[in-house]
Amino acid sequence: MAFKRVSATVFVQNDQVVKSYAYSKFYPFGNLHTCLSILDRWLVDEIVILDISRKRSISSYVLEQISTTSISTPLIYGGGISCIEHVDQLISLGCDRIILEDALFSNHNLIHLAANKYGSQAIIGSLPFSFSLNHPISPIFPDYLHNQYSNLSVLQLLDNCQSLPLSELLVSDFLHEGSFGDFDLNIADFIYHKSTFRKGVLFFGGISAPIANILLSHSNTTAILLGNPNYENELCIPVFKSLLSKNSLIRPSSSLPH
Amino acid sequence: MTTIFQCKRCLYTSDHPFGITFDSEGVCSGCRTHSEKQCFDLDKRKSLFLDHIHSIHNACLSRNPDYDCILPVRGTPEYFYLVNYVKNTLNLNPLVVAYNSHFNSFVGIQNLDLIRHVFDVDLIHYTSNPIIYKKLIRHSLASFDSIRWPFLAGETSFPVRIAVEKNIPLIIWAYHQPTEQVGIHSYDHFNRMTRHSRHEFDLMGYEGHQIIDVGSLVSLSDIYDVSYPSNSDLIKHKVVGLYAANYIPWDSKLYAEDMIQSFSAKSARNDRTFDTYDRIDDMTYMSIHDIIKYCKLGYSRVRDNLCREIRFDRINKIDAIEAEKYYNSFPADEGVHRFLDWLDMDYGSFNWFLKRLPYYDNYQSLINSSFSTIPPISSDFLVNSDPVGSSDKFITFGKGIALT
Repeated sequence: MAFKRVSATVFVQNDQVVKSYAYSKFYPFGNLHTCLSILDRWLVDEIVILDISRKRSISSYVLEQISTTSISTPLIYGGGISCIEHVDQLISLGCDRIILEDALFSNHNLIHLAANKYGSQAIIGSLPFSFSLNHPISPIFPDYLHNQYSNLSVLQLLDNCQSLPLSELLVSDFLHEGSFGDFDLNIADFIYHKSTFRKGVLFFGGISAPIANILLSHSNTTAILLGNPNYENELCIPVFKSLLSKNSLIRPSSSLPH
Repeated sequence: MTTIFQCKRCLYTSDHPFGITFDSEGVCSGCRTHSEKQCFDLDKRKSLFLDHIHSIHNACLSRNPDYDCILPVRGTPEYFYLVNYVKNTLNLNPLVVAYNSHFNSFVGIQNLDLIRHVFDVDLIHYTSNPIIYKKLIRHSLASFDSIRWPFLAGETSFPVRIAVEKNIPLIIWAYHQPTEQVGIHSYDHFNRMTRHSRHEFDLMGYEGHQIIDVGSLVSLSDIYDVSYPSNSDLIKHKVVGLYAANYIPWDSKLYAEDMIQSFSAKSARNDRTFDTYDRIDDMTYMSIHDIIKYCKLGYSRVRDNLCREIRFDRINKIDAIEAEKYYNSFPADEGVHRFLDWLDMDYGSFNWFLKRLPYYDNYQSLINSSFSTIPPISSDFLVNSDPVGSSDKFITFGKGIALT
């Protein structure tokens, strides 16, 4: 069985860490340096920084915080990456991998360029989608630029992702993002049984321990991401890991360093 | 240059040191979170509180049989409410703990003694070594532009250390200050005490081990009293800190007045605020600390008090702006000199220190402006003791009894 990760998501918006609820309601939570340092002590498997400021550039604040924080946990960054120079900058600062979302729809060239330069293992795609009461069969995904749901087909996008040089796909249940235990398992079912996408999947958005155990039981699920609960509970991920089936995890929660 | 803007409802601005967000209507996260208090279903929340307490107790089978929880308190009236609620509403037997600020006022000491007496609880008032504490305050002032770091570090670590040492897994804190001010957590999320929050919001981003320094002579042994237990200790003893304000709609004024009526809790006047219940236990808080805070951040504690009053609809924003200017104009010289004497620092050095801070000029112009001697708002806050600054010296140890 492939080993799986439990990772921490850190949202940044306008140069501060925020807790996000369905990507529409935001609560401030201090600075990135503290956040990275604390998560590093928790033995999380990786830290995913997502800048959701919706700008087509990378914040100098985020870059400065990444470069000045000394951590040993692998770092993944997503948000505002629109050219290969951005990718170069992030990799040179110590990010292990990058997440591309807009490029999946509008800039396949960037994905190919980045994969050629750093290897497809360094590239993760991002596809937020959900089922709603009005859309119980065909999932919807948000078009944040136009503040509406996109007309594109999620199934088609998933099939496209299979042919792109991506190592994994980050799938977030955007309608339940920020909740605890509301993740819609139909999303995993849709990916694994309706689409042709067969690469690794990282799930995010309202995942509780029982849901995580179900998701992790599928061979293509490579990671579970937790966001808001990390700010609300002491040692959230180590405690969360202790509730998961241990033999599937890359680093079970057996001991904490300090 | 970043544009600073103010909340449409309260006085907080976008450069609040805790961080703040604004919605599309220009209302801050603090006001939005505060509005949840109006919708509290008290019975449901109480039942949830008890559920959470029981699950914490059940998870720790070998917990201390003498105490159900630890209650960190200060010598101010609102903490009477916390002890009363835990003891008489939740029917728990708490171990009450307080960390000594070394700058106690007489009312602060009296209140702690009253809490012990009227609620018949065990109370530990812990005092760090005064020589080391003074060293830490010097370091805090020089490095963080604040005299509060040692107290905040001790106040937030001592109850947790006691929880670990005495095997009492539950700590009930009164409220989470960043949530009360800028709404960091929704009350529906029932956040718990975390090292992260302490580090970020209480300790200004500095842990004890980061202040060990040859220059200030702070050594490893000096920081024991202000250090938080290790992650493995927290896991081993299953220590959990709950916030009472997630279960009851915390209103300092309402609770303080209830406790003054019911248990004769003490209140007193502070020069730089209209609030006679807040921080009256510490003689430095509304004097030197408040002035440093203003020069450093551009606002002082009275803004925190006024924002709370605006959110409870007890004052309008226009009056609050006037009141803020009025109370910010008090120089509090007596309190400043008292602290400088204690620290062996001369006024010239202190003034040099203040001048380095970004809002020093604003402070100077405020204290030089001529305001009416009558406050712009009429205050119905109760006063039943002498002013906080009426004593010549700080009280390091006290029993709440005045000997003449």
